[in-house]
Amino acid sequence: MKFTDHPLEHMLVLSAILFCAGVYTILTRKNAVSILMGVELVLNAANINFVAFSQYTRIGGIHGNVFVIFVLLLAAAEAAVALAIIIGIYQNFGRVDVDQADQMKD
Amino acid sequence: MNFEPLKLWEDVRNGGTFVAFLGILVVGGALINLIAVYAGLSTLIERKIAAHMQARVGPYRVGPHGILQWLADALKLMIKEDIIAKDTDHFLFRLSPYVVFAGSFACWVALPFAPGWSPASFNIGILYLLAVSSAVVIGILMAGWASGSKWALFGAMRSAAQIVSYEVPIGLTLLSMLLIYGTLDMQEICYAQEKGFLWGVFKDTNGGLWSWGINRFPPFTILAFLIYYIAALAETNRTPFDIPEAESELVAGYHTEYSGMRFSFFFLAEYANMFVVSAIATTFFLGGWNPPVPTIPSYLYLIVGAAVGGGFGYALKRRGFDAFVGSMIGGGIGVLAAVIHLKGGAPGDHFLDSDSPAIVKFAGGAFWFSAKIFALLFVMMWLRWTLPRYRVDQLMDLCWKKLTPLAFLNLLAIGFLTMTPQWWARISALFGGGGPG
Amino acid sequence: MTSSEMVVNLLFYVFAVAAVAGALGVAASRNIVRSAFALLAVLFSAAALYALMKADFIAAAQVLIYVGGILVLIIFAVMLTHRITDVNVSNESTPGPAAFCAVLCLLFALVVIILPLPQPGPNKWDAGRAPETMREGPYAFVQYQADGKTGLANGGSTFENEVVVGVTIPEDRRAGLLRIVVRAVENPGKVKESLETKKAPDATLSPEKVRLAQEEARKTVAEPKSLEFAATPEKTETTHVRLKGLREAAYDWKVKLVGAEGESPWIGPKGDPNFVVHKGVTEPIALALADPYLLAFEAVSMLLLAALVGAAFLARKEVKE
Repeated sequence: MKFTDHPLEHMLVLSAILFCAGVYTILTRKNAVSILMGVELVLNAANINFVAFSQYTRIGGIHGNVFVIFVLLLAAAEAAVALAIIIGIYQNFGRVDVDQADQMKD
Repeated sequence: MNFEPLKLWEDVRNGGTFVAFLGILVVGGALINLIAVYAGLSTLIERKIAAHMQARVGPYRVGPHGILQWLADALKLMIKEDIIAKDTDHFLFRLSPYVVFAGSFACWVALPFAPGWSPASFNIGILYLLAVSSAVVIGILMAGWASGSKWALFGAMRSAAQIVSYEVPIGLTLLSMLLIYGTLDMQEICYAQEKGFLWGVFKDTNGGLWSWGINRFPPFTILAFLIYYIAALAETNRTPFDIPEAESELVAGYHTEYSGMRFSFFFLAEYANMFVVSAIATTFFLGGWNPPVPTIPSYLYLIVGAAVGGGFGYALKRRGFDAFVGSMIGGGIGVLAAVIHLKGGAPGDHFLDSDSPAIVKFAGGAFWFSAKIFALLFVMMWLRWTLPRYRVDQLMDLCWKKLTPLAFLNLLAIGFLTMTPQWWARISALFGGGGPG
Repeated sequence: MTSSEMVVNLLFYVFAVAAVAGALGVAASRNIVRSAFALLAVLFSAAALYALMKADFIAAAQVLIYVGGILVLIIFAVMLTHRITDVNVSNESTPGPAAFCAVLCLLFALVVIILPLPQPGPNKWDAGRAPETMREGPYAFVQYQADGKTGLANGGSTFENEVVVGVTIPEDRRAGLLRIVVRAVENPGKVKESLETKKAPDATLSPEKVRLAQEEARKTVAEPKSLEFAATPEKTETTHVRLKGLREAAYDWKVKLVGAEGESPWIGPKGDPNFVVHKGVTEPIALALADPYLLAFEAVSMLLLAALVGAAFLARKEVKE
């Protein structure tokens, strides 16, 4: 069962759709955690792209997959720090609405 | 008329991939039934063990000596009224038992039951197991949230925090064992424990107790096994780490609001999870499907098995336990040993030889695998009725301040010991290959 | 369309639909907990797609890190930051036509304009580079992947257990040529103890032969295994020899021509042809992380440590005086 039976373009279209859904989430949501979920969607779309190119065509060898590993790790680190900041904002303001956290000082 | 679709169906039916798909469905169905029967029996075993440890008899009425109690329990759970509270998130409430069970069930397909017999063979066996167990955490959070009750949510969050924290020592100890084996594939790990001796001294001795994983670098691998076992107890929410589901603390934690069949899914998932973590411990530390003493001829196995079984039965009978139970255990062990190892009886015959029939390999391997797992499960159940419960902060303290640093030091030590032969070889090559100095 | 193609297509569409449905759930759901669990569907579908593309390690890492770590964090954050008063409608969004149109334009640009752009290389989505021809004297050698058409670069890796070697012999040397033999020798640096020594042997062999074979198999841990494959010369100039049943290892190969008058010596084309058979991406990724990407690996681990400490500090509960 060879995955190359399915054309690469479809995988790329899927990742484009995920990317656009992620961008829409980032643009329109008010809850900070939702925006973070949008960022994760964008990162996942990029990952699918990387892995698809790396597995369908060995242009560059295995390096596409290695980059995906790094993206996974950095996404984890970024999510941890971002959520810690969000919890800090919640403790200070009582809400995680990004529209109301618009001043440097309380 | 266009006959293209018919030809396509012919092709589909004859294609190898279609047969593989059917095979997957059959194996999956068999595995789910196995899990269900095992979980049901496991409830009975737990109640009986608990009872005998507390000097009482346990379930006694349904069937001879309460043997069929688990069927009664299963039937009761199935016909109970399905109550869904008003404040719940209906879709997530319905979905979460399946997510939790799917996480545990998906782990069963990677377990090495016998040499060459595994429901699915994975290149990345243990990594897959660790990955799919994460679905259990998500399911628990889903269950706690969807119950619509504050206490269920707290129980779910505590349980999820506990599981996620204890995955760190589990990962570290398994990583230190992976340094020794050099492969992620569970079957290859079992094969690697067929031969070898303590500290890698002799590579070719014929296996047995001393070539199991736990004996590779004795002080450190034993420590790794203990750390893994304690962390696995916490991972499956068993006592002494069962704060999330302790009756006196949070009613029943994240599955308070579930009744009937939905609750039985959580139950099934917990027992399936116990089996999986014991199976991982067996594969990595206790030799998987390898027998403890491999090269004695099969008729000796028969004699030894009958002797051990008979001795057990006799001893239990003398100490006043139920004569029936005692003789059943004894006879059962003897019969099992006989059935599995009676392969012709020629001296030196060993069921792991390449020319033994596949059914003997399967029966022998599965027998030893299951025996070790049930020994570990017995210890789990024993601990449940022996130890008091940890408080939540003591639990977290144990994980992060004691088990994780120990696991790190263990990893360092085992890594060092694994690399020593290579370094030694390089040093002696540097000195002209003529030995030290 | 064979059944395996159908299965691949079916699997792709199932997971693609699940991923898109999840993405729409994340983007459009009014209940933030529902969108968190829709993200679960997206992450699992992405992992399934990676597994479909035979990047097994990445699929497992995705589930382990994203689902087991990040999603759990996100759900915790959702549950810790929502106000008890509004349980259901806690996630408003300001749709506005502007954002929607912008996103649609982006999607259009990605799919319709950027996707069909011509790509460098002879063939658009060639799996593997173009076939490399290695010459030795009058002969030419090429190695292909299992389908006999897509090239396998020298030193490249393949996921299947079969490789095809194409040998081009000029007309004047083909008289009396009986067989072309290719010998593939495993590179001992990468040989692993294989399951082959433990499998049940052919049932047609006598027990004595079986025992001999086992003895031999058991003591060959250090000897590199070599396999020989032969093919009769075809009418065209190029003969394809199929190397079947390869294990997961690195192979070097040489060619021998057997004719009516005798055998030629082992011809090793210039450039030392070799290829690697992989079952999954774990080993290539590990090798890449240890060699070209070592610095990046260490730097990321430092970064993770800093992120861990920073997050633990940022999320601490302030003790109000």
